[in-house]
Amino acid sequence: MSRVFTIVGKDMRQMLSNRFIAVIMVLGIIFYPVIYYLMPAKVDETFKLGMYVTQGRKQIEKQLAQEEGLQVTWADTERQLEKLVRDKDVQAGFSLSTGPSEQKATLLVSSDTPKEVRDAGRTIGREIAYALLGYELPVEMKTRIIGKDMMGAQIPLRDRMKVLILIFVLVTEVFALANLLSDEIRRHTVEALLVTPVTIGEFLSAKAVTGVTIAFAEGMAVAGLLGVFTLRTFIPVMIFMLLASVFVTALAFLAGAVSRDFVTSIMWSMLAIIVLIVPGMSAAFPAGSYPLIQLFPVYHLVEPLNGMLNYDIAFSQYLPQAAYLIVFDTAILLAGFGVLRRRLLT
Amino acid sequence: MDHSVVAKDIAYSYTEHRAVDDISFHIDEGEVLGLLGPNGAGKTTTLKMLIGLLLPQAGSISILDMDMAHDREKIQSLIGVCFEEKNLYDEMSAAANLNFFASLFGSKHIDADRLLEKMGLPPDRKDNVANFSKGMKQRLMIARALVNHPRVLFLDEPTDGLDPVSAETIRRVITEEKELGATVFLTTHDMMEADRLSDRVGFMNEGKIVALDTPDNLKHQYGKRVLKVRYRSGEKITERELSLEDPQTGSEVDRILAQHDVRDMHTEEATLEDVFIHFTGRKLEE
Repeated sequence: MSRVFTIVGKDMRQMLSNRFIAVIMVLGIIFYPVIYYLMPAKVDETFKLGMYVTQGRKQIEKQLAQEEGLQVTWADTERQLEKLVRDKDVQAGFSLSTGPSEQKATLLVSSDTPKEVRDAGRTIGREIAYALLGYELPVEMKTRIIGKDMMGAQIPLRDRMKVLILIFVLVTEVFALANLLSDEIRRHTVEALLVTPVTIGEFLSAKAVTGVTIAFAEGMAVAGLLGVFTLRTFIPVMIFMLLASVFVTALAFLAGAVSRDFVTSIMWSMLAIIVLIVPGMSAAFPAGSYPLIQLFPVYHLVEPLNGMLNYDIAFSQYLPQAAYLIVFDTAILLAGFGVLRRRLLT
Repeated sequence: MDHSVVAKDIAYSYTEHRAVDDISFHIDEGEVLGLLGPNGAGKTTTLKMLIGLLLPQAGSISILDMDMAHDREKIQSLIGVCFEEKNLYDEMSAAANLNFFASLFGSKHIDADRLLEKMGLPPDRKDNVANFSKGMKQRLMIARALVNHPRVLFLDEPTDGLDPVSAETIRRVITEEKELGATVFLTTHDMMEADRLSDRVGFMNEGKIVALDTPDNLKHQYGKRVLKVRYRSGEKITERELSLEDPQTGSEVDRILAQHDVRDMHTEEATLEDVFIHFTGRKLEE
């Protein structure tokens, strides 16, 4: 056991003495929290609507002035309204032409406008049309809130990003550990170790301890800087960060085993990250939890962290995800051990 | 005498290529065995099996009366290895390298300064090994192989490509270790070095040991001892090589001395190079 920790101590010094690795680790700890705190802490709930009407503008202006959360920008022509929408000065544009022969109401949205914004624009448009035209809308609309009503407490983007930042920080460790492993193989230092009483098992255990320790410490440091810890979240976050650290360490084992040098270790690490991590991150965003994404292990990290940190969902709700990660981590760690062991013995 | 190393019918193949082909040999306690051969002869694969980095696909290896297949860890605590590759931790100092490896052998405190001095390296040098010259790195590799006071030393091309000072330091240390009772297995390209350091020499070619004996026996048995004579014959200088094994050589020398202006005459001892050529039909560097 003491040999494992002797190697761990050496590895820690070696990783931190690698300028590239040290820089990306320190930048990770500083850069991500800075970005987080620079992002807006609140969601801007004001709906920005562009308006063009052929008549009755004063009447509408008077009526809309009493509406909360609505900011209207008036256009003098329909073309000007289109420009406001295209330039994203407004979230939607509403054009109402009222004449003796024709009454035309048009909602203008850009092609990338989310459905909920279109719906909001359509609703406001109907109300304005009703006020101006003077007859009832044919459909009565009701809203039902599924889950916790987040009205007035919408999750700011930065809090959704908080979960992703924690995962991104750990991803850095895939590069660092994969490089450390491929370095030992490329420079034949592993052979120097394996002709001492150090066994392959001890060597691999030392690398696993190094990887998990550094990833976990960095992840927890960033989590602390992002202010995610409360009495309720500390232990659950720690458990999921530990599982995430084991996961990235196992990925590094696989990447390090097939790498020939620094560049290929970066390439293989990138591949592992793109295939196994990036898709699962969409779980942090609304409508991101589609069934296929649940096949990616990182989904089972992002979803619980997002739920616990942003929606106050209890840790007990996420025990199945924790169990899934334990099984997945064990499998991928054993695979990493196997691939690396094979590389070392040939 | 006890055998420190016994290799019995060991073999190893890399896919299609049979690198080591059923070889057997032993090294006595306190003996230096030099293994000579061209690149690709199987020397390094043999060494890797002896130090436990590769498992023989056939045969067995016993070191200090322990079986490598079962007691690898115990054996490795009693051996020292110097590789051909300079596999040091470049981002650590020389002393840090030695202390790190010593701690893997369970030695908390070693006299790193004494080891460095022994190898002619400045003990007060605190910079990273990356700044060391090739010769200094190689001497540090030898020092590293000695951190656990090994009973058997395995040295793979220890002086290959080194400056004369570094090479001589390493040869001196090998001799000192032998005098202290260590057994030494040495692979080398250098015939002179093998001749000088080894009690016995093995020649390896295409995965097989083609000859194994003391340098003197090998040279006597397979080398050619000649008398070289250079004399003036009219306007030109003639050079002749006369075999010392030929009974006619004496009378031929008498004739040359009587008839020609002899410029110089000397005997030339057989070399290990001659022995190698005898067995393989080619020179070592080919």
